[in-house]
Amino acid sequence: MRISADRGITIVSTLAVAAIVSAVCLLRPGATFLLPPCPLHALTGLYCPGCGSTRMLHHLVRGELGMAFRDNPLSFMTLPVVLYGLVRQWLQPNSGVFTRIRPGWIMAFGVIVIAFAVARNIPAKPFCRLAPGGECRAALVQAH
Amino acid sequence: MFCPQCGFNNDQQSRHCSQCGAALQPPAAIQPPVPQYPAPPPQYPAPGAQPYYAPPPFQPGVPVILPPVPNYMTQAVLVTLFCCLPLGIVGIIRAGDVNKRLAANDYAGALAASKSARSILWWGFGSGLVIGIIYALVQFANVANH
Repeated sequence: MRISADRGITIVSTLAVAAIVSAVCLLRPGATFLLPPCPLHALTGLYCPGCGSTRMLHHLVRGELGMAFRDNPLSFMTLPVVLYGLVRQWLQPNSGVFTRIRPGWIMAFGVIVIAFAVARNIPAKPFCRLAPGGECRAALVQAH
Repeated sequence: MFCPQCGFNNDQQSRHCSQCGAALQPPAAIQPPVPQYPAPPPQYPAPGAQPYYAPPPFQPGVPVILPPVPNYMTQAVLVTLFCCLPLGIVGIIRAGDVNKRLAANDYAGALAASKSARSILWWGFGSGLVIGIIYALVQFANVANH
């Protein structure tokens, strides 16, 4: 059976989501080598827009919504859209999901992601509230 | 499917055009009208030219059924937020490009942007997996050393 390239990327992305979700159900991020801390943050000390997403899922599957939100507000709010998109791709493979959104909205989302990445690295309130955990650790370190 | 009245690109399941409200017929019900004039000769691409993606020319009254063009927005968001990769941002920009071209009825351009988005996201998933495995092995070596 030949799998179309379109189907292939749906399968791979669904498997990736399933793997991360089952990993955070069993393990605590950062505590094992299977869910290591973000390499970018370990090397540079910077937070990328995805930093905290794994911890967010870890708290989310335990029903700790507030802590999940503070770990990564952007991926917390985007997760339902991603899950909706994956379900639509499985149920209606030829529906062209999200293709009738105005291009401006998609570009605006890209700008939000970049602005979020910049803001969560600013070591001052209120921006550092966007960093993983929602605590201004960077600002605290500078203050001491 | 594309609306026979205004050419708007609708959902494949839609019964009515969301732009002008005209009824959209399912593909089985379409009766192509008898041409009143001799059809123009088909234009073939020159040998060695770009792959021929262009759809048949839009004719009012004849619904043009073309396969939908995925924009892979879901995967672009996944790569951006869970693989931590700038490739995801490029994927988001490409998804916007697909939508822009679909809205402008540029089917060939949308298809090209879609293919470009797909290959970028394959690279995103692939490099995310490879970096993740290498990094997990490094962590494992560190844990084993201590």
